[in-house]
Amino acid sequence: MEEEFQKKTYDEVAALKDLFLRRLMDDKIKTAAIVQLKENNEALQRQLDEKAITALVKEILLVCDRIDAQESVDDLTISVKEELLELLSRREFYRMPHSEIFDPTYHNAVGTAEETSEYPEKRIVKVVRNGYFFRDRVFRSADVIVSVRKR
Amino acid sequence: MGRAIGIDLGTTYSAVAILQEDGKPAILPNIEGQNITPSVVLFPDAASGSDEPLVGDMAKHSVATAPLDVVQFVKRQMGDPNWRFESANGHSYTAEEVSAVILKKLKNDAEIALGQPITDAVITVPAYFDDARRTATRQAGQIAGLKVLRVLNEPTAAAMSYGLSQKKNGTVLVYDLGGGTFDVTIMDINNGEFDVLSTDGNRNLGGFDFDNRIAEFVFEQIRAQGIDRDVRTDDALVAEIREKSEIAKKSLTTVAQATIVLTVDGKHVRIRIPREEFESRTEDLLNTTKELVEDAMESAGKGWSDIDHLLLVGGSTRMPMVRKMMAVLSGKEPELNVNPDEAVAMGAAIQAYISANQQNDEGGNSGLPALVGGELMTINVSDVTSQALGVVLLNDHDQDENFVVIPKNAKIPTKGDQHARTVVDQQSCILVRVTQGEDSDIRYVTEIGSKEIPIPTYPKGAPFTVAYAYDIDQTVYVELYDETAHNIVGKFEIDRIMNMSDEEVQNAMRKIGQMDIM
Repeated sequence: MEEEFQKKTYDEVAALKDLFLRRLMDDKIKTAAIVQLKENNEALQRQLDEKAITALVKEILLVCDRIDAQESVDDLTISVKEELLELLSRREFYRMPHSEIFDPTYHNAVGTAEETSEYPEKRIVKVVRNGYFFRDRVFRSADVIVSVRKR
Repeated sequence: MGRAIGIDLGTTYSAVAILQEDGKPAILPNIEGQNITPSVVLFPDAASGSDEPLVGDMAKHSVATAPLDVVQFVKRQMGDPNWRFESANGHSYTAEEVSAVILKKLKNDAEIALGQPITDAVITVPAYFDDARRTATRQAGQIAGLKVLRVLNEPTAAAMSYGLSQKKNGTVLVYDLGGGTFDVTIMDINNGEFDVLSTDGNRNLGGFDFDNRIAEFVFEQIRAQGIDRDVRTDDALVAEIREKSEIAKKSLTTVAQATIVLTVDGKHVRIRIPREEFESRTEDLLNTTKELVEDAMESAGKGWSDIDHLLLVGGSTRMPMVRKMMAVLSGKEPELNVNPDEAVAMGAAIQAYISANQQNDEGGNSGLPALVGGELMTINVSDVTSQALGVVLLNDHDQDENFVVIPKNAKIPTKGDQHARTVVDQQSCILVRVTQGEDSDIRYVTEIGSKEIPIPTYPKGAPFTVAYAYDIDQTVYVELYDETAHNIVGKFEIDRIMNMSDEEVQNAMRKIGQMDIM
């Protein structure tokens, strides 16, 4: 009688231990899944934030373009533009430095001019619209006029 | 399991997607970090004399400096055996080869994004592409070093991205308004089989036309605000107006009024565009798409109560007026849960996964179920003829008339026949003139072949039947049947050689395979 009771207890403990171990494993897997989900979620959120900010920045750059296109600008306007460029650079958007040679990686040819001694073939004759980087990649290529060989 | 990609090979832009491990498709960005790549190729004039083409943004940026070295819209040339591009270095390319250069760039970039090699792909084509253009697309893939698992209809891919499969049998209408083209397709889905019932569209109508209407309004307003010179000749200003018009169009999807601010000749111009103004100025564009939808419905023989799913694809369908027009027209709410710019590539990725797994499973030649997104699906797709085939006969008024034997949008393979009668006593032969096109006026159709077939002599009005059979091998089989003697008096084939031969494809593979593509 007692032996039977002992065996029953032992079996129950063994079953409980087994259940406990399996639950522990289960917990581990669930925790890992939650961590994974959280990471995915954060990555997605970052992508969304980036998408929202890049759309806004594209439009802000059009404001800077309008100021850049003017021949003479008052001090207030210049200071506004500088402020805009400053707040953009804090978010890792930078204006491209001027370069002499046309490179389609950075420059978009919007027009051509015949080559001269000052501007041999494939030189940038004029920057029509400034280009910008976001971090280490091209965010908006610069619109330029390029010198081409005489036809 | 092999990794296979889906490729939306577009007229202006292309996109690549893959089915992820979680069963959801995702776009693979190119090496520049963009989700779409311009379908533009530049063959730079090189001192070495060998071609090292550039594809995508860099090629697009060079259009102005080297217009003769750049190929754009090559998709429109697919299946045209006579089209060639001559590079400055003296090399000549077919449309298949130029497309292969684009595909190779897409493949290379996808491999970098994935970090593993890609061998297999599904490439999408418009539903109206005929078999010659489909074969050309498949060959372009082969030349690029891809195993083309399938050439898939764009609307079918779009429907797949919406998860239409065995669980969602029924009839689906896909309204696809992209940047430069409009397509409408009606399909039946039956146990995973997609049947194209009808397809129609306009190759020159898209989002750009809507932007242009805003730009026109802006030009008018600039004049109204006292600037007298013609600003349309000012390239930089026109570019600025176009860009701002597009932004205004996009913002009008959520706000009731957009404002464009410009500085012209030192004068600051503010132009307000209420949504009503935009909608009334583009009503005709929308109506054109509406009429094409109605035509497609008619040729599919369907009423709106038959349509179970209404899908809007292409970025321009984000405009509220498109959704409203389709909702009013159909009495149904369109389904909108997939990004309309990416739906085609996403669907191609799903098909790529299914096809790749079917191939791995021996003996599974078709219709093998695969698990995608938790749903079992088997998918088969059938093609339709893009052009009607007809025969020229004398009508009741003794005039030449084109009679359609196989209509446009017929499912391939297909057959058709047309009754004819001899026109004079003791007529000794019948001239069978085979045409392409659906107009009854012979001036508006193209004769693709003809043959004079001798017949036994009968009194005038003896009955004959002209029968056509059209198969996926692009050949029209023509038979003339004598109804009096009950036998075939003559037959011939019209072989339309529109594609490259196997040998030509092999040569092109070597030519493009050796090339460095950036």
